[in-house]
Amino acid sequence: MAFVKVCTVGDVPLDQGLRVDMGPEPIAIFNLGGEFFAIGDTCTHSDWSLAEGYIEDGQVECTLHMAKFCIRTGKVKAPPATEAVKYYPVKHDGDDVLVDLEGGAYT
Amino acid sequence: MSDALKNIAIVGANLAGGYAAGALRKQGYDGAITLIGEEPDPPYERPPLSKEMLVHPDVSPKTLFVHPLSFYTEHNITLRLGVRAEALDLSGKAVTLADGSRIAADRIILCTGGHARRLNVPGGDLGNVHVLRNLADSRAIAAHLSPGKNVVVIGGGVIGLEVAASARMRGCEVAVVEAAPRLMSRVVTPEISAFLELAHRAKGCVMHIGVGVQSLHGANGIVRAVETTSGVQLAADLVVVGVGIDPAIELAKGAGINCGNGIVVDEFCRTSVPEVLAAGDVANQPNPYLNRRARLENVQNAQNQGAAAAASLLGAGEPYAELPYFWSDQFEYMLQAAGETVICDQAILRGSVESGAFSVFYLTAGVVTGVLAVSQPKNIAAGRRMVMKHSQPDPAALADESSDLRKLIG
Ligand SMILES: Cc1cc2nc3c(=O)[nH]c(=O)nc-3n(C[C@H](O)[C@H](O)[C@H](O)COP(=O)(O)OP(=O)(O)OC[C@H]3O[C@@H](n4cnc5c(N)ncnc54)[C@H](O)[C@@H]3O)c2cc1C
Ligand code: FES
Repeated sequence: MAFVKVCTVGDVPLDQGLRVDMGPEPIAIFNLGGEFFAIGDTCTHSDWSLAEGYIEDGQVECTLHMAKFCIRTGKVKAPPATEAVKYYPVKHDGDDVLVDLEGGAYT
Repeated sequence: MSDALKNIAIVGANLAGGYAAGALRKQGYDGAITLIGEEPDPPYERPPLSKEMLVHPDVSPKTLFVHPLSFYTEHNITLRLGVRAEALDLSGKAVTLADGSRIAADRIILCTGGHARRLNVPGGDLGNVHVLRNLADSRAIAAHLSPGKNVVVIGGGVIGLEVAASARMRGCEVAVVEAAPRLMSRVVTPEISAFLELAHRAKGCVMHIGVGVQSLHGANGIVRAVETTSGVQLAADLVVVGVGIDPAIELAKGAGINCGNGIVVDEFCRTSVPEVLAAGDVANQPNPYLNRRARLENVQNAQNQGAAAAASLLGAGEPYAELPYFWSDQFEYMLQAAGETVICDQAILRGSVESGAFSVFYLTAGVVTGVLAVSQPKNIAAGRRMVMKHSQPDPAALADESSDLRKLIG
């Protein structure tokens, strides 16, 4: 487990996403009511950044064709995507948001 | 769920049919499911056929097939592909296929989509004149696209314009012939038509708008030219016809099911015959967002209506209410539109049309009823929610690019 700092709390406004490209794949960091989560950033349908997506009810909606993914687990919640994205372990250290970039997994 | 329900047949193995089959299992139905399709392939996405598969024929799109074949085995869905369903035998509880076999069916979901219209003019059946509906069409067209080839696209709707853009990106000389006075006139306002016309012209497409096709001329059975109603001859190595689809209602009609611009269904996807439901491009259903019946021809509708028909068949249905939504990629422009994007009493522009990235919100009596965005996908997400919630935002705030659209949903 190697947690690295990917951003600070202030970099991700409430109910927004931030794309971070530091590890094996780009990841999206989301701020759900002050709690931070990280999932694979690339929509599994076509290539589009989920950090750009619309956040609602703990899910992110891809703005291209409206597939939805659970921000906590990476699971598909609405088509046209059929495959999940990975979720990544997240930790806080003061204002820093740390992610285990090697620890991506499917639920 | 009735005990008598043992066999469900779905005719049409594309998006609506594929999603209907998957949804039946998700809802817990454990009887037989047979998915019957005339095409040789399992359900696939058609959008890439006019876009990336023409521009990059050597790269397979990230998502083409909706599910891998293993999905159908795992969910015990029997695929009967490459065979046409000939008739519905309602009293005999079966669907008869072109190869003579009978598929037992207590209930049937018709997801037969549409047939691409062909050109009914002299020369319309010459070689190298193609419609674009399926994988084979797309591959045949892609094989003809190379620098300098003369491509004439007939029809300035979504498919025609996508083919024009893709062909131009492959270096072809492209002409578009559209009979209506403007492009995509069924789905966008004159301002958006003008933007698209300018965009295509700027890329070097020659646009013949407001002119029809008189005839096609050929040599040795292969098309060489398109003659317009204004007497102009356009050189053509390839002609692509994109003039819409006719809903595939043959089976329904043959079974005495009520049809009229598609198969007429109620909000639960039920046809006039209790055992038969319909979904996808073929279904004509009351739409609460448009306040009229509509036959939607888009991916979102096909997948969601297919699933809705499955739930309804099992008695778990809710009235289906889909906000019409489509997207189209032409050159670097990504067009997305939701709701009523033609009729309105106020169109609020956010951003500048000249920049090539802008959004338009359509209001009727102060309520947002439609939204369209060019290369601003985030605004579509917020705009769709405004339409669904009948939002009445302050028009000045909508137009102000620094405002947070999410706060205007209300
Ligand atoms: C080139 C192209 C690009 C598109 N791009 C977009 C886009 O960017 N965005 C968007 O939202 N939508 C797009 N669409 C529209 C979208 O693909 C359709 O809305 C969708 O495919 C409809 O799905 P469906 O299952 O209702 O019907 P269809 O996809 O038409 O499938 C119906 C199937 O039923 C089969 N069938 C019919 N009759 C019989 C029979 N008697 N027996 C057996 N099988 C039968 C047909 O062979 C066909 O495979 C595009 C369509 C095309 C053609
Ligand atoms: S790219 Fe995300 S839904 Fe299509």
